[in-house]
Amino acid sequence: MKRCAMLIAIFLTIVYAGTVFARDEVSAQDILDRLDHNMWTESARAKIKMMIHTRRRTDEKEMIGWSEGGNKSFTEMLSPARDKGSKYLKLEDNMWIYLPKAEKVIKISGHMLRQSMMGSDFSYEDTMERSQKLRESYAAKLVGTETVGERPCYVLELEAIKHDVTYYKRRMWIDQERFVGLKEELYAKSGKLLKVMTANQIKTFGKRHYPTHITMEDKLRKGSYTEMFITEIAFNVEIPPMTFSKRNLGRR
Amino acid sequence: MFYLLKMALRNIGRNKRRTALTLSAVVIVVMLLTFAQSYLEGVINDVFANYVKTQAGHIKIVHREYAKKEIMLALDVPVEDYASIEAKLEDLEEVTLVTERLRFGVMLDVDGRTKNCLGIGAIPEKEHTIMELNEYIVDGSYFRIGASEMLMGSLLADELDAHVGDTITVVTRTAYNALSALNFKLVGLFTLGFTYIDESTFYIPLDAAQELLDMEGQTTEMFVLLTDRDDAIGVAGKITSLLEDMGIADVYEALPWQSQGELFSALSSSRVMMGIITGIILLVAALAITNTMLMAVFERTQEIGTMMALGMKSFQIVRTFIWESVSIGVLGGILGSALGTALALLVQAKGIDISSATGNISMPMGNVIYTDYTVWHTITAFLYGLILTALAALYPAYKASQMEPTEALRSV
Repeated sequence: MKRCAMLIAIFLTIVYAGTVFARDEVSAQDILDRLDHNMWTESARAKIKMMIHTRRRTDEKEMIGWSEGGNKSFTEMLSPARDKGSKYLKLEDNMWIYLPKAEKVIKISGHMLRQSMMGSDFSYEDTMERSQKLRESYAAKLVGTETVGERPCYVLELEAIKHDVTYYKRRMWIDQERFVGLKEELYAKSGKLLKVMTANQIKTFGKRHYPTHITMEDKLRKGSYTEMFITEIAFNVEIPPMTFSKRNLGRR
Repeated sequence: MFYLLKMALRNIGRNKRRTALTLSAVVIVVMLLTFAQSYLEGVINDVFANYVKTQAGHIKIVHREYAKKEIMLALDVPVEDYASIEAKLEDLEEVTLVTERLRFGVMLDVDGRTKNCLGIGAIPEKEHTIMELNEYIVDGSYFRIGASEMLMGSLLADELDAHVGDTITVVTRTAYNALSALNFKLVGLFTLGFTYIDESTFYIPLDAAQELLDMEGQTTEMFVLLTDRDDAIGVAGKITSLLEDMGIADVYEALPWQSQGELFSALSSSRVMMGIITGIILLVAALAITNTMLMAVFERTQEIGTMMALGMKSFQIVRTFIWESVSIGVLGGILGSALGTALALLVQAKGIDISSATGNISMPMGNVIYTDYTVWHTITAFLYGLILTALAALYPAYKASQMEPTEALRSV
């Protein structure tokens, strides 16, 4: 009887010991899942202000945008006068841009989506970021914990599992309580640091904690950074279907 | 002394065919020399003038960082507030013209046909003053400030299959890297005669370019012409002082054409080429003339022997030969320079079309070359011919004088 108990004890110890090693992998995935869950929305409508700081001047731009699922979005520029009336329609991997001064629609696809949007530190792709589910493209590893601005964070390292992802590696500092990214470093496959994203303000919308002030720095451009302010946002709203259509790009 | 000259003249007249041979050699050489100098002068001045008009100006005012980035046609180091600089330049009496050129690279797309082009935002009236751009329009009309009009090189239009009346949409990134587009009506096509410009350049009004590129009140360069191009360095200094007074001399610089690398080295190498070509002509000429003279001497061995037998001294024989050659030199020189001058003046009026050769040259050498004749070319050629002929005679004359009269006579 005593021998039996000892065997069971040893068995349980081994099993328990095994799970200790397994815990890290599961934990990282868990964090990523909760992050995705917090950030993901079926649809959204938002008013955004962007301030582009370059060495020569600072530009302020205002726009309104709608997004649905992971791959449909429509944005219209409200100011300044130079940009007013420009529209951006994104469907899957293609983007159509309407430029009112020339009354012309330009199509951008694939790699060109990595180009700067409106001269900011965000690429066209970056602005669609929030609607992607990270777990679909990355494998995560928990590498530790750190404090970011008095908030304790998990530090996750993500490596692309899909082919041809823009940022092959990402380092994310995720708020342990709110599961929102407070800081992110975006890397190329070569290991070169491409961009740094910082969340300066987080607002609570029901159970959701969403960044309403983000700063993005394109490390390949000297001395520039862009601030994005979400001045208004509504989640899971009804959006008229014709919003995400080329006809909506037409002249008004 | 002069009796030798008379003898020399009689000698020359005696055998017309032999004389004609040497004479023609001299005539050709002098003619070539006259023409070649005029031609090369014409080419050099052509290249220079065109380079000034299309690129360098007499002085250019640019941002100090622009020179390094010029190849990339950078838009982030422009001359800002050029209007105030222009106002100050008006005070300088050596300055005849000031204008702005906004140069940018863009890929033009006409219904799917694309080409990387150079766009120039410019002031139409000023461009006309600089290089009579209006005169080179082959189809359509000139462009105007304040209008969304485009002037395109004829070869570029061919390649893109664009026609006068078409609407061309220019899509590019602004100086701040934002996407921008504007429509232009293609109002005219030009053929400047420089292939590399006609096949890749288009003009739009300066204000339209500034709007397209988000560069209001800015330009990539200020272009200055002077009454005398040789004043460039001095005037550039004056402009620098003006910039200092305005407190912006640490940002912008005034570049005289001499400092603008490309042009200056092109000119220097042209002159070197000119020297080399002249040298080669002279060398060949010397050989030709010496050759014919030697021939003459060997042919006349008997004659020389007879002269010696009759008591002529060596030095007298040498002198006779030299007089002969000088006479031929003078005669040939006059004929040759007359012909050469006539040819130079003809080409100065009519020009030579070398468009088949200029296809790939990225130098502003026009398709039609005109000579640039000055009297100096004739004088130089004539003197060269004369001296050459005289010198060329020395060796044969020496050989002649060294002959033994008996041997000479023996070859009868």
